[in-house]
Amino acid sequence: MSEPILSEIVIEPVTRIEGHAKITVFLDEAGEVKDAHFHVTQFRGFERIAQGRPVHEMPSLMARICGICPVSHLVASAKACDEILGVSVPPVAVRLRRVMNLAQIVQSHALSFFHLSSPDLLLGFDHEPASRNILGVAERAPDLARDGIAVRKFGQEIIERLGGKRIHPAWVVPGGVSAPLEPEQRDAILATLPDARVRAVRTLEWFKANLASWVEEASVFGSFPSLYMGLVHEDGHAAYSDGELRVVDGDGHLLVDKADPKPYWDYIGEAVEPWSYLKSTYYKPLGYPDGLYRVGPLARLNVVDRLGTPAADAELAEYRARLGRYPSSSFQYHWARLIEILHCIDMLEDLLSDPGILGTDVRARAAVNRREGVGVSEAPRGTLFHHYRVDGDGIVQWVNLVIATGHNNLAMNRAVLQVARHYIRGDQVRDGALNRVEAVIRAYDPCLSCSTHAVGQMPLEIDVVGPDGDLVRKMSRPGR
Amino acid sequence: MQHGHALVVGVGNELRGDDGVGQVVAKALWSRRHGVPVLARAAFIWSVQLVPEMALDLSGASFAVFVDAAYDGNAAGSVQLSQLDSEVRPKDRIGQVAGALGCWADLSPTSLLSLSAELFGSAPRATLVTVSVDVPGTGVGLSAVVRAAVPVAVRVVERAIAAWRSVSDAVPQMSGRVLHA
Repeated sequence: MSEPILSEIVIEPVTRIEGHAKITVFLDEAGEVKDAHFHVTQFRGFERIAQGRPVHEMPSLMARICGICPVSHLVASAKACDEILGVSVPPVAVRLRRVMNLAQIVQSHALSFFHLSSPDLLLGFDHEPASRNILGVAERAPDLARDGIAVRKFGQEIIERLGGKRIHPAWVVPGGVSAPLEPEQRDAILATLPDARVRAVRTLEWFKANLASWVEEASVFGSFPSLYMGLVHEDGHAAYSDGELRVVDGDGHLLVDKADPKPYWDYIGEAVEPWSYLKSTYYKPLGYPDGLYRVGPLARLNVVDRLGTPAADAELAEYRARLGRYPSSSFQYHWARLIEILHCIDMLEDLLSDPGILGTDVRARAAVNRREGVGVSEAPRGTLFHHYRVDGDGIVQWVNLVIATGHNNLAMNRAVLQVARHYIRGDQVRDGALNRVEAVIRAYDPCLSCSTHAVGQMPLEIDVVGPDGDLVRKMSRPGR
Repeated sequence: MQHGHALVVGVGNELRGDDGVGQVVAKALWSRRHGVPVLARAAFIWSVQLVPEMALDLSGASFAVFVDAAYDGNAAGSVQLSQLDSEVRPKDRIGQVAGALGCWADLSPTSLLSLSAELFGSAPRATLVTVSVDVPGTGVGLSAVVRAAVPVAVRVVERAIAAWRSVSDAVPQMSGRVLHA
């Protein structure tokens, strides 16, 4: 009598990501991977929670979506509110919002690279799980761990200096910011920039020196052509807080360029699948699911002509020289993230070195003048849209949030399938293989708390399902 | 011989009712810094959770008090003080500590002390003050019994710092300050 055929492997929870999820790998009768799903198992519902709240509360309320990237939601929300108030935000406030958004990108990218992904990169994807974490990194490569702590602290301290606290600052408000930047705070931030920059450059050098170690992973970690979307300035350099929408394909053809991002519904459709609380967005002209596109660091570096600061542009040139003009492997999110850290640090220096940043005209005030507003900015993980409708009293009636992790959902699912097919063969499932299935998700740095609106935090699971629908294997680790 | 300052680290989620008692105690201590001599030279952190960046703050302190809610089965409002390892030996311990980590969010006071010693060359003596709670809540505010324990926990922390200072022969002049909020 033959052995029963494996049918389903479950990894639950997926670890070292922000939010709850699990992965199911479906096997055919020969034990080969037939399909794979990345399930987001948490639900938050902020779009509904916000209904009935005064529009002025929205930035602070929306910041509560996430403890990692609250600033992204603050900025996008405040911009949607700016539209509803019909105000012109004072130029100093526009720049101050940029400063906070850039600091947010630095600290979030540092968390993703150093705390969540560097254990795999440094120790190896097959390293024993017990020490495949930030403390294992500290033991093996203390300089790398110190750099991670210092770079993240650098970004967080900027947020604190501007907003009074690191998580959920309420400083970005409709019409601008609530208080100007004090000279001593500006000076203190500038004093910390050189150290952060040295650490960012050192980490980039470390990553580049070790690229050869990850050739196999890079070839299958979501390595496929797709569309890419991001905000760019009119002259083609990277935009993070403002800018115009650009969509390119894997060959560099411009599908959308110099477009106002606010009518996002012209370009983006939203689909749902019964096995996940995470919406799947798609490029509307190509339909679902063919309109797969990616956002975030990899996509931003693909859509821009240049970044806009000399050192980062030199890094971008080397990145393109080694990977091609439009790198298509999601593994390279890591490299792109490190280049963006350097770029953001240099942009922070540029912005803060301008004496005008200390201007005191930082807020425009108005009552409700429009019934609808869309705010768009680049969050660490990609383009973020907040869309609100209010009644005549400014009470929120309807909210739609299009989050970076949702933009990447189709790509993450395809990436999980690609990795599973490469590393999983029937019942020969090693921990290292399953870790790679998780690691490809980490490369995207999804923020599930942001994108599903969860009670709880962290984890994920992996299921392997057989042809008869039976669960063959389930990997589950306790969440918090 | 001990030098430097004391660091109070209050941990918990104030949006989850009694879970936030660690933050409430730390903030209460901070608000008393001008009137209580042992607090005048202390630094304060309050946070939803422990994060790796705190290792850097710990490395600069000579004494640390972690304050947190405990789901330990004791009667709600019970306040307990326990000594953490006074001698953190990173090479001996970090592997054990790391083994307990599924992700960066699982850091414990001990693992943070190990990280501080491993990466920054020093870790302070440390104690843990816990306030027992039954279940986390779903909103802002402490239950009456846990709220009543806050002044008790404040006194326990102050006494712990005073006891540490009593054996410290050189404490630099520093003003009480918040490192994180």
